[in-house]
Amino acid sequence: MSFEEFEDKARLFVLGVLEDEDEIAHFEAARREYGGRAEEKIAELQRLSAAFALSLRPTPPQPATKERLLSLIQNALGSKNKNNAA
Amino acid sequence: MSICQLMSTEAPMAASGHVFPEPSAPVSDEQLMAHIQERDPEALSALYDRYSGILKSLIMGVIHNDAEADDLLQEIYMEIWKQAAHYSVQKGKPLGWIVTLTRRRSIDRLRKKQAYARAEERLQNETEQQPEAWVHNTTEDDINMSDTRRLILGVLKNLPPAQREAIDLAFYHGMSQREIAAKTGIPLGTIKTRLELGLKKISEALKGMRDEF
Repeated sequence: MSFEEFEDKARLFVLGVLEDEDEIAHFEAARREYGGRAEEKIAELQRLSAAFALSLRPTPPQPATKERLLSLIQNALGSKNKNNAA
Repeated sequence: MSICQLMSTEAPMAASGHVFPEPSAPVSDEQLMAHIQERDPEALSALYDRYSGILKSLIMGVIHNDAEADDLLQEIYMEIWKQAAHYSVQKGKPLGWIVTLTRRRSIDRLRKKQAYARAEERLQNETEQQPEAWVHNTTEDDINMSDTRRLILGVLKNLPPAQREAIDLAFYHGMSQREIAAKTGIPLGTIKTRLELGLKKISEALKGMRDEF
């Protein structure tokens, strides 16, 4: 697979739409072959995912959702601190 | 140093020595992730405020249920908190990582519920009325639209309709290539080509944009 072909498949990969098993196997083989260059390209292409998300109009969650989340995190931190102290 | 301290150290200081209450510059996503890795809940709270709205829209596009979307959003932020140690700048910008995580979890949730048939029925109704999610989610009078969003929408709207439809169904509605082929009655190979060509054009267009995300 040429690097240009790898790049085409990498765009599908970062969006989670590279599905065919053979295609994934070829992609992973090329990813290993190109090594650091391939990883840099994948990291760069993550911008695509971000761009698509930023094109959406935000839908505000219920305020209670954030309250529950922060409460869960405080509980998790509290448990960890208790375990460390014990 | 917590994220609150970080923001206060960035605040400008007047000649009198008084620190202005407003921070001079927004904290970057990378800085927030670094503080989350240090287990700072304030950083997660700030990241939530920054992106929970667009992530919920992304989830809603896949699972079409407001209460479930909030539930999943909470799970995703918990996962960000737990998995933050696995994130590194070398893997790309934080938002790309977060969006990828959100899409995967949304699709997992859809599959687990085995509600795909019902979701697709709703999707079909929606797409018959409004063929593209980004058009559906956008109105000309959206005065709060950010410059970044405006630029991205411009790029998406300039795609040929067939490529735009394939990307819309794949990304915004979480459909697989096979599902898109089945829904549209177009051969799988054609769908694959449309996705590749469309994404390539978007990718090229984004290269010219500022490095904001």
